[in-house]
Amino acid sequence: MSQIAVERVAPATEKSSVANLLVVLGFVATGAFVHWPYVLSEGEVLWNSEHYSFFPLALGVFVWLIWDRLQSARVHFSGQFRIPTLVVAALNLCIYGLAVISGSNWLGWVSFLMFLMTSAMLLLDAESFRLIRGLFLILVLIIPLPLNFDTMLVINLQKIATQQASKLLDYVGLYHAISGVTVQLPDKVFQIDDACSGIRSLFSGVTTMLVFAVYYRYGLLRVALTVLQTALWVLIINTLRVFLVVYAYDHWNAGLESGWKHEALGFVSYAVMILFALSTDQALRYVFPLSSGRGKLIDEEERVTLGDSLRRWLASPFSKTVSLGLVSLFAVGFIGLGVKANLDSSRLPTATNNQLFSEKLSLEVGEQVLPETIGGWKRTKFEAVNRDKHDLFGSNSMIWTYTRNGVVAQFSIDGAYPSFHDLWYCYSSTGWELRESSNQQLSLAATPDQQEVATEYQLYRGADEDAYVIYSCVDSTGATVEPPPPAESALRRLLNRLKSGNLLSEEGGQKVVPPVIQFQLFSRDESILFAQDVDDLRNLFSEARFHAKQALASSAQ
Amino acid sequence: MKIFRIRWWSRLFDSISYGIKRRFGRFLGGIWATARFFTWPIRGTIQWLVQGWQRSNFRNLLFGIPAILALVGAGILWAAANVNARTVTNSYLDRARSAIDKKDYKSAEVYLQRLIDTSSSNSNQAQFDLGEVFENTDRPQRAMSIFNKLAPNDRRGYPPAHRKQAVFFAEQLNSQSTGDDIRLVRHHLTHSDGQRTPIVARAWASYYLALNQAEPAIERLEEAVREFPELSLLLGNLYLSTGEMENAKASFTNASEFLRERVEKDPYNRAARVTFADTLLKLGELDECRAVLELGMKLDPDGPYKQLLASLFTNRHDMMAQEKGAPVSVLLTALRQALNYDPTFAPAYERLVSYGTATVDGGGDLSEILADVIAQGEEPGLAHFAMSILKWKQNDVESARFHLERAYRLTPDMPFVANNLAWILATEEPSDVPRALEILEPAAQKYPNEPRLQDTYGTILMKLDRWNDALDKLERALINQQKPDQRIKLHEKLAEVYDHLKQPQLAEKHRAYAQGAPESPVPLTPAP
Repeated sequence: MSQIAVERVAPATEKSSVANLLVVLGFVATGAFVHWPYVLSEGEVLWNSEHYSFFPLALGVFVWLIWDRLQSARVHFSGQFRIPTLVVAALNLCIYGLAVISGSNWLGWVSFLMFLMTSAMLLLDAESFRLIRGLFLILVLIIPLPLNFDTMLVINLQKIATQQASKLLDYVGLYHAISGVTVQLPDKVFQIDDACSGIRSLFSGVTTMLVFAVYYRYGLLRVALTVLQTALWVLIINTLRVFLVVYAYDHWNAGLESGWKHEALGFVSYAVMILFALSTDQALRYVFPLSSGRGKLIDEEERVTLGDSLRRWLASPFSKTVSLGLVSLFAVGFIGLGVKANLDSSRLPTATNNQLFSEKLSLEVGEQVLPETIGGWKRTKFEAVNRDKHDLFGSNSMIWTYTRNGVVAQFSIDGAYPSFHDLWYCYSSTGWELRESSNQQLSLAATPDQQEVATEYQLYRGADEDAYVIYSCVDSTGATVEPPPPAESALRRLLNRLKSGNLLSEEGGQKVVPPVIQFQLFSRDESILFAQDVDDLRNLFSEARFHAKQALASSAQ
Repeated sequence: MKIFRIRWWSRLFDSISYGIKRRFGRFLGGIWATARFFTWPIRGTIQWLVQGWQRSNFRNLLFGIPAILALVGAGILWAAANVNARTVTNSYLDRARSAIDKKDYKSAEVYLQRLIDTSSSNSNQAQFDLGEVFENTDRPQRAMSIFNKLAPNDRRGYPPAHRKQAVFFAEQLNSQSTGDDIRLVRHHLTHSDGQRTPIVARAWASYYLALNQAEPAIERLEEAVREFPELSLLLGNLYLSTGEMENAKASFTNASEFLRERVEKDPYNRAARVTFADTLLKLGELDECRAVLELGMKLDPDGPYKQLLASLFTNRHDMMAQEKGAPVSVLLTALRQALNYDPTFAPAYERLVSYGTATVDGGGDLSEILADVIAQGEEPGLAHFAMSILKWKQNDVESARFHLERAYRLTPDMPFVANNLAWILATEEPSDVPRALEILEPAAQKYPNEPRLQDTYGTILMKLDRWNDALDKLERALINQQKPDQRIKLHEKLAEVYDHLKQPQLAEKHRAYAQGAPESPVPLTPAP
């Protein structure tokens, strides 16, 4: 590895004193400490999340790359503020402040990642920081997308993979039907889950290629191109995988849709996807050659640009005194906000212990929790369903089936979730479309003044299927979680948050103590439900919910 | 020597080369140039590859070729799939229809769902086919939901769905249907396709019949019977109602042919056999009708065939009576045959009784005629019974009793003969109530639901002061007695019985009904 002649490009810098450095290190430690609760909370969420559980790996790669770069160059420590450092630090403090005020773990996590950058800018001089600044792109990938973008992305990518695979199946003459993310043959139904549609491989594939790009010090444009072409390959390979699973079943009964074969296919397709992404990268290098690979910095140093003087100005550090003062100021800011955070107990335990909760649900909630008859509805069936812990419909469900005058309704207790669970995503992923949605205030006949909110959907699918869904969520304290406006797009959700003055929380300022469980009533019919039917179903839901809540409360005691 | 050898070979080689060049130089040169020309792309490529490998940029291209090829391949495949997607809907429709023809409804449902989801042009057809699939797989509600959407009740929709709705609603039409029901059928019929098809014609016929319009109904039924021969009977009845006897006969003949096949195919089908017999009766083929019913009686003893045979012979009696000139004995034989099949067959009994009250054309003496029948030994049993009726009407109780005794001896299995004799023995002097009981009891026990027998039985038991037993019989008679005047008499007797059983409330009730209080059911109100 080449040594970089720092002296040639670096403006005159003051040598940082050991004391100054120690102060800065102290600031860094303090900042890390005040961020620690958010790191723990959000870390648990990310660890349990299907899409972001690779984040320790990403952090590890990040640290390794920093070490690799710094150890191959002559690094100068600074400990002094520069204008960019000031700007970033100020932004960091604002974000941290917002996190404390709103109690948002997400913002706290963003603030922490940003604090890493702030610390690096503070500790290193301009040229040394430039060696590692590109690496911070890796951290962007471990910030969960806001406003449920990741869920929407998951479902939309599932749908795209299903639709494209469907066209291929038509092309080879394999006739089938699709509904949302389901492929249906006359004798089998394939549910395209996250793994099959490659959503897991999207995040990990993009991360892999991003690390590759960062390692080779690609420019911003080339990095963007790398990410895009990787995403394209993810889509192509996983469309082919969906196609192959269905085709292999039809022709050879290969059983690729489950078991070890399914997992093996997943690994192979991931490897193929990475190989093609790398190959595409090579082709792009041929078309758009790199200036000098890892020697890019030298090229930049040798180039005389119009912004050179601006860059010098920005790179010039503040005086030691000013820097010390700023460090102290920011340290006070972080510490003050950290104290406020502790006082407000704004650290929310978002982790869910699904295993314990599921055991509790299955052991202490049984068929007899709900009455045999409710207002003319007769209970005809009960079942307990266990699913994969990442299933959108919840890891556990207790389902009671009621019938009246030919109408069948299923009341279920589903769980567990970290916060309010919007069922719209689940039903849209299985092909349902929305006819109407609203939030209703419902009460029991015996207590008409005590109202409780529930979200209601009237759905349709195809030519002849209609369904009615009504649901609400409660947290572990038994409090109803206030729902957002139902089935909203991300943009509308953002506008609603802006209108309400609360940008950050789905719960609208409400403190939600997970785990959150959901009460749901679902009824499917071959014709549109009349108003009377809807009223009857609402009443059934109110009564059943009341009994279920009572049972859960008594079992919790 | 060594030098000499080298020089020698060299000289030889040089000579040969020189000679070849001189002779064939141009020719070989040409060949060589041609070979170089045609192999130039290969040589050039190899040279290019070898030289290029030494450049890192070139290595990028090589490593990138798989991705390029894969992308191009994926692009071609995607384009081909998209082009195919434009025409695949027809394939789905064909497949769906083929699956329906093979009764593979599961596959048909999948294909049709796909068609509905992806195509707007074939959507109505696909939805309609899907509705038929639901019909065939026992999901009528889902089928009806689709047909309702395709063929709304208030506007024009998809014609085949209107046809479906028209046929469905027309089947439910009857004489009690409301105007809305009839208008609904007309709406769907008007917008349906296949107006000239038998199934639609059938629906139109139902529509006109609901409106009591025979002529247009006949016109439509004439089209419908081509596919639904079972409608021939209805058509024949309509022809009868309009006086078109020849057409009626032809229709009944067609119906009988169709029904004959059906009965032969399914001999235990009661409805078909009875309809067949009815058709034969209308055609006047009484012997065949009798054979059909007798076979039915053998195969299905619990069926209605006894009553039908009794009715047949009663009808035969009526036909012979209308023809005039038929001897009374022959007429009585017909009635006897009817009563042999069903001894409690009321129409036959009533006709028999009527012989005791009939007037003779030309003012002749009925008793003379009946005496003549008895003397000739033709149907003496029934003739004696008829004579007993005549004598009873003439208040000649003694003669009536005598003739009844004779009738009973000759036809002891006739319950009405036993009934009348027991009645006279119990109620007329000199009475012999025990004997009356002895005569009546077997018949009354054999026919426990015959009200006249139970009435007489109860009366006899009253005479014997067996009030509880009398109550059983009289109440059973009341259950089965429909004639108002007979019910009044039963109420009178029951009042007397309840008086003797010291049940004044019930006695009063019966007395009130006997005096004419209306018998209407009292609604029960459940307790709060």
